[in-house]
Amino acid sequence: MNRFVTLIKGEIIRLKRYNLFAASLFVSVMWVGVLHFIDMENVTEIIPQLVFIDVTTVAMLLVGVTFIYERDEATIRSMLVSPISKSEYILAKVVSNIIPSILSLTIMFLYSKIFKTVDINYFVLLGGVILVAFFHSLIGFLLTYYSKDFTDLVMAIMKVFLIFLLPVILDEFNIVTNKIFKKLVYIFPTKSTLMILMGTAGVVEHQKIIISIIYILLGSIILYYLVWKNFEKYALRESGE
Amino acid sequence: MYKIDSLRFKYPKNKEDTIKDISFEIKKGEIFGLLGPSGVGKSTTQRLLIKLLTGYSGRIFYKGKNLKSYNNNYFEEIGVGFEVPVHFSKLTAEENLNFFKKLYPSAADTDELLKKVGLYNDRKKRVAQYSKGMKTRLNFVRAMLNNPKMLFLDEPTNGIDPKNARIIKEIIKEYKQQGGTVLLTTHLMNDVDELCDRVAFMAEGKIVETSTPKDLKLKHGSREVDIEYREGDKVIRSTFSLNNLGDNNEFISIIKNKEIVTIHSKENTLDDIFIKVTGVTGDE
Repeated sequence: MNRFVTLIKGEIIRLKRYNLFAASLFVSVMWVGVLHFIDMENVTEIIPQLVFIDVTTVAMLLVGVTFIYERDEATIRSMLVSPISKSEYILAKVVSNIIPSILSLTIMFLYSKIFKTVDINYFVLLGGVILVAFFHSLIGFLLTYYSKDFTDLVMAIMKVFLIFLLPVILDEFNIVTNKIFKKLVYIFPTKSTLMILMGTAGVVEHQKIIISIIYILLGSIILYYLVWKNFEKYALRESGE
Repeated sequence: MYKIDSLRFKYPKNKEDTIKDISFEIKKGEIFGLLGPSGVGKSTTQRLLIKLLTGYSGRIFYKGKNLKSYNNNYFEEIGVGFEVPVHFSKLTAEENLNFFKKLYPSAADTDELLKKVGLYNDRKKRVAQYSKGMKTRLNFVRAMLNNPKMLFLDEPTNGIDPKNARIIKEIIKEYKQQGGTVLLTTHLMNDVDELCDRVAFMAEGKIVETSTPKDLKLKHGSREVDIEYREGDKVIRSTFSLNNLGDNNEFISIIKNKEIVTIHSKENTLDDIFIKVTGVTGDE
């Protein structure tokens, strides 16, 4: 347990030192700007939508970027010859990458509580954010396995965004209203993550929320297995081959 | 300490084996040098021993037990000094070491190690500000920070000035005196000559020669002595066989009557042996 805590602390320190926390904070401030300039007093439904965009992209990007730093600086080698397990390494990275998402949520929530009207239970939304960030951090892990460098990673995230996020956003904001399209988006795990977050605003049926949670939990287990299973292959590549 | 038996390994993308049926032993308390030009499989062999690579055939035994039977606790017993820097560049040297120290159940006095390698006064500097030589020295401290029983060192003095290289070598000798075992991978034959108890030369994925540096020199050297002496204004050079040298009247006459300029036995240097045994014409 001590080692796991050390790994998490190490990740958090590095997020700060490599200015990734600052970048994440900057994005949060941008969301606050959106909330400020939006012509609505009650932002209950807006907050989960913004959190959705923030958490899904930032979680994937942060895991990827920290990984690429470790690859470039070869510190992954040093990690691989220390007595930590694969699970400790993966989970520490995922858990610490959830923290910027929590920070972002808290900033948006506090702003809305003070300057706007919001009817969401912070802690329920926090639970949703943790689950969604965990899921997308694992996707970020997998994307990094197959990315050679930062540009490659950004391209991969863009593809994920276009394929999995954009259709859900188009559906959510009723930009596309086609009935078949609206049904098809339910296949995407991103639709489930959005429903979990929107559920905290009381605009999604309970049954749908429960199915979404089960979907994302099962998805997380599968993703975790894939990340864990491919770790050796990744380690081999990081060993210079 | 280690027994490597019929080891073979192939990288997934390669057609040929990188390691082709090698067998050797590393005895407890010795410094074992693994030598050879680039790309012959030295680093791959080391990576197999430090469990960075798996999927090999043959067997590796550590302390009499199959290496595959060890879990992550194995890493508590080994220290690895990589050739390339392995530090978080935006953290200070001290922060780097403190982070890694906490991953082990017991740790060395890193302040003392930093003092020995001359980095103590720079310990609060970010590693990004370090020179290549400083990073190499910090790598060495990283390798030693868990008080390892077995130390794997890949070019530990590469890029370091002679004074600091001497310090690193003295620490390695001290480590050996305290019972530590070392696998040294290098192409710097001076280091090998000074440090290694035994060496193995690798070429094309195979071990082509294993011996002590002294025996290698004797085996590959000529049993002759070169002598240079003054004859009037000239310097004359002669070569004599070491066999029955004491009965060689010409040699004895030169020694007695001439002014000797130089006298050398013609044993090969490890550099010569390296080139001869591995079939390269320099450090590839």
